[in-house]
Amino acid sequence: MSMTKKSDAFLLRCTEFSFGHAKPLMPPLDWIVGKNELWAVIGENGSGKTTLMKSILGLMPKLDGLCELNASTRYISQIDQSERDVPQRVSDYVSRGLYDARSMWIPGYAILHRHRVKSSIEELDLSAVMHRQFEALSEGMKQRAKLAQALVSRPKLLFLDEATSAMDPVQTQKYYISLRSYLERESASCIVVSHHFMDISSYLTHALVFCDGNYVIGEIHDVMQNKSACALLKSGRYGHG
Amino acid sequence: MDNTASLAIFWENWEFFREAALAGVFAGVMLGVVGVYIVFKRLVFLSAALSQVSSAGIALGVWLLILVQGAAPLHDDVHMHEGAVDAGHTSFWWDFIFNPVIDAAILSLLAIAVIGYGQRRSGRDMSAFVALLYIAGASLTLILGTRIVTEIQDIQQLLLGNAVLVSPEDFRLMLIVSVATVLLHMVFRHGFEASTLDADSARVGGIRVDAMQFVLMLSIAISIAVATKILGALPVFSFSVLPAMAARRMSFNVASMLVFSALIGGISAFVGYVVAYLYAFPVGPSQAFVCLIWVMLVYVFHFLKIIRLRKV
Repeated sequence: MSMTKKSDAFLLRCTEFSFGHAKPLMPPLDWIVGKNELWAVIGENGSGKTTLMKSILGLMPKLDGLCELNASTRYISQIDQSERDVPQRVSDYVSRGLYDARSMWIPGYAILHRHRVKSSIEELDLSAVMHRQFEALSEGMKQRAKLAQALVSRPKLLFLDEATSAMDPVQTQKYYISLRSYLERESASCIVVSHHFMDISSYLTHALVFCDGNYVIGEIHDVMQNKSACALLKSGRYGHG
Repeated sequence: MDNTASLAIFWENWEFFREAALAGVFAGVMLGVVGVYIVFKRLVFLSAALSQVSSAGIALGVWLLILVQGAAPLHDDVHMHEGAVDAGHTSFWWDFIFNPVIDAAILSLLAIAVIGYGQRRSGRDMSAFVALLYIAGASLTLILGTRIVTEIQDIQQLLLGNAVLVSPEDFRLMLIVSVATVLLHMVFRHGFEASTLDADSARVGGIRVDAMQFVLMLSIAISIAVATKILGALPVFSFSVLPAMAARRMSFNVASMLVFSALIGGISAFVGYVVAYLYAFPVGPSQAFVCLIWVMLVYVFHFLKIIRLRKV
């Protein structure tokens, strides 16, 4: 296991971080995420990728260690089932991303910041459907709308958990082009859990690979050089490549 | 029956009917608003169970009062309170324990707390437990009804709803609770929406999801308990589900759904009351049936729209 060397300006720093349900799924993790980085978390089903993400975000209890988030954060998972029965235009869905613990109390906040909603929608190429019902969109488009919803609050650190699972490779490429351009413009970073590693590998800067009960962590070309990580990544189970 | 003349008589005697008709409208608007979240959270049958549990709480309150001081009319809170004063019981706790609305609210809150806790701990569907609550509430109400012999009509009113007349105290209570509930939902709207529709994203955004859900469930429990006491279980169940169902098909976003649902609830309550007066129907079932007609009309229109779109 190695720890990437970063400047002090970290967005996420985990120290001896242990996660799991009753017992640790992996050895304690040391991890630093800096600015303008796109990380992939790769591993087999049940290896603990989502558990790690949720433990870092406080959505489930950690077992030990420390994780510091030093940035405004947004979490994108698969579309919740309860979203499907809700009447909402794509623009309404995206504007919900504006609300956090402070802004939700400000009357008319979404109206005051509608330009941000519009630019997020344009960024994800959803302008043509912005007045359509969210429910009527294809699954791939819904996932793009979910990213637009997260980007509207201009977060500095994004967590994407299987956020492109319903997309074909072409849509996935477009999605990551939009994401990459956002990260560069805002000096933000993103951590992605995905099974489509080969589809997105060209956009990644770093990877954290769970293999054989341990981690391989570092810059993407270093990880690709690592024999055990490389075997997992090129086994054909993680993408179309 | 000469309906035009009867309607004219209704308006001539508006002063007499005003409080009961408007109490229904306030309840319809309030439950229309909370009903949106009941539908979103798929707690439709919880609403039915809560209205039965509230009925049981009210019956329990009346029964306890009769046990300690003798029979008193269910809808006469002033009389009940005077009875308590006569008996020398004037403490806060006396008023608290023997107040049917408080008992209904406490039982509803307990039911919601148990369901919320069970759902959070196990993450499982609690529908079997909701059914258990429904049966427990309904059977306890009917069992206690046999022990409140002089109030048996009140117990039937509690279950079916026949709020022909509403006491000034109940009207004031309904007004205060409905205005407070609607204001609360206006202030907390974005928090309720975010924590209901995408709890994980809301938590990461810093929204206190558990606190939001607690306030939301509290507002559902209190509004159902108070409305059940005044209108009865059947119209309360109808107002908390059917207007939101109809509004769902008419709306383009959550804000418009809240407005449509409140309007449908309020209008149905009033039209149901007038229909009950004109044709000598029971009030609660008439209000519930008017709600049902809304839903049927909206769904027929929706299916016609789908057929037309398919043809195009």
